[in-house]
Amino acid sequence: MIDRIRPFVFETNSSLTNALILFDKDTYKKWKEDTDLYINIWDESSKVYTKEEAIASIMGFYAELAEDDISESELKGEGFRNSDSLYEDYEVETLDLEEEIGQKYIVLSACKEDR
Amino acid sequence: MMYKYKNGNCNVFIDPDDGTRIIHTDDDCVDLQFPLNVDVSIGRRCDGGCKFCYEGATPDGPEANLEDVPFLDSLRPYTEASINGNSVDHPQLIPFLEKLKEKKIIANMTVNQIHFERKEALIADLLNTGLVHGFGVSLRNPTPEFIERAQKYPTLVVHTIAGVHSKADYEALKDKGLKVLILGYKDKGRGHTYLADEKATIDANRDYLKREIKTILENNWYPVVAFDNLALEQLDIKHVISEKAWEQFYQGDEGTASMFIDLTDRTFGVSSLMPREEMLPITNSIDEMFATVKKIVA
Repeated sequence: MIDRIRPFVFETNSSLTNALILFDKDTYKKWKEDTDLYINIWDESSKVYTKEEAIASIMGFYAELAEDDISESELKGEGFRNSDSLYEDYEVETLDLEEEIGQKYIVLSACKEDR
Repeated sequence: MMYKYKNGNCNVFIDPDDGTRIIHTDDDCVDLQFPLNVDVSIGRRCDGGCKFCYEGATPDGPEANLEDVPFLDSLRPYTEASINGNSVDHPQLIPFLEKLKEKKIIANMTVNQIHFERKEALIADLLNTGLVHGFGVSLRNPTPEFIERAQKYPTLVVHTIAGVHSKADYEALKDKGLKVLILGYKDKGRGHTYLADEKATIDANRDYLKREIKTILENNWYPVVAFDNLALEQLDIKHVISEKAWEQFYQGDEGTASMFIDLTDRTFGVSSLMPREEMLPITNSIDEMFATVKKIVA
């Protein structure tokens, strides 16, 4: 499997543009420390997330659908049951966080490591 | 919003607002049917007079006929077209861009800083109307006025050349929120003569970048730092970043995802570095031309 990412820049040149970074300083520090950051491929803003922020965003989305707060343990756990969804035709029973992240996010590996 | 399309064995996602592009395949290699990006040169008429111009452009140089582009209908939606060659002064530019937009081609454009400053209103219109998405400006002099004007455009990328631009130039752009593309030095056209005449200066500028690039990246001087394939090689970037990051960010070798078309000479090839005498006549099929390019680099 291959994922090639060209973050936040168009091809304006006579050769392939290999973009390496686009972060503010704080995000960049996190990136260096945490190793991985995430881009939500369906997000309209050019935003990068830590894994925790990505999970919180996913949980927030489902919590809104379920009109229930998701507990901290559910957020960090294997998923949650959504038995009272207001959306009858929206059949979400369990949530596999890793699968959700895999579907919505691309991981940006840290650019710089000691080699 | 992201556009998604299938190309060969890959799914390609592209964000038309900021350019983010993701190429995904479940296979072990990327094998594209048509180019993700076509570099299109539309002329060699330019009054910029850059001493290192690899195209050898002059004020009375030739311009392409943009009313007759035989492969236009074969371009797939969301392919990127990088338009170069003092494009803002080309009389047929706007109808050409309109045709591209109609076909859902993502047109990007690069001009010299002097033309950006001279024709900023036109450029702003092209960006606002979606006729152009990504915009490159070849740096001449990073004055405070230029920096202030450039900061207004979120998709603008400042083009610099390793060997031409100096420590002072890179420092002037530092912490200004501008995206920077570092290009390799092309030993072609006037670039060949300039290299012979100014070798010591070019080497010193390139050595500075080679030495400092890790610091520039690690201290986040610019929100985006991008390189073309030639700069990756000349500055040995592969040894500055992690292997994991290289696998993810490296967009592929020349001719595997992009190709070059010279509409003035009506020829195509792997990239603009290809000697003019080795270029081939354009056809009416982008897939056919790209298949040839892939064979050349295979």
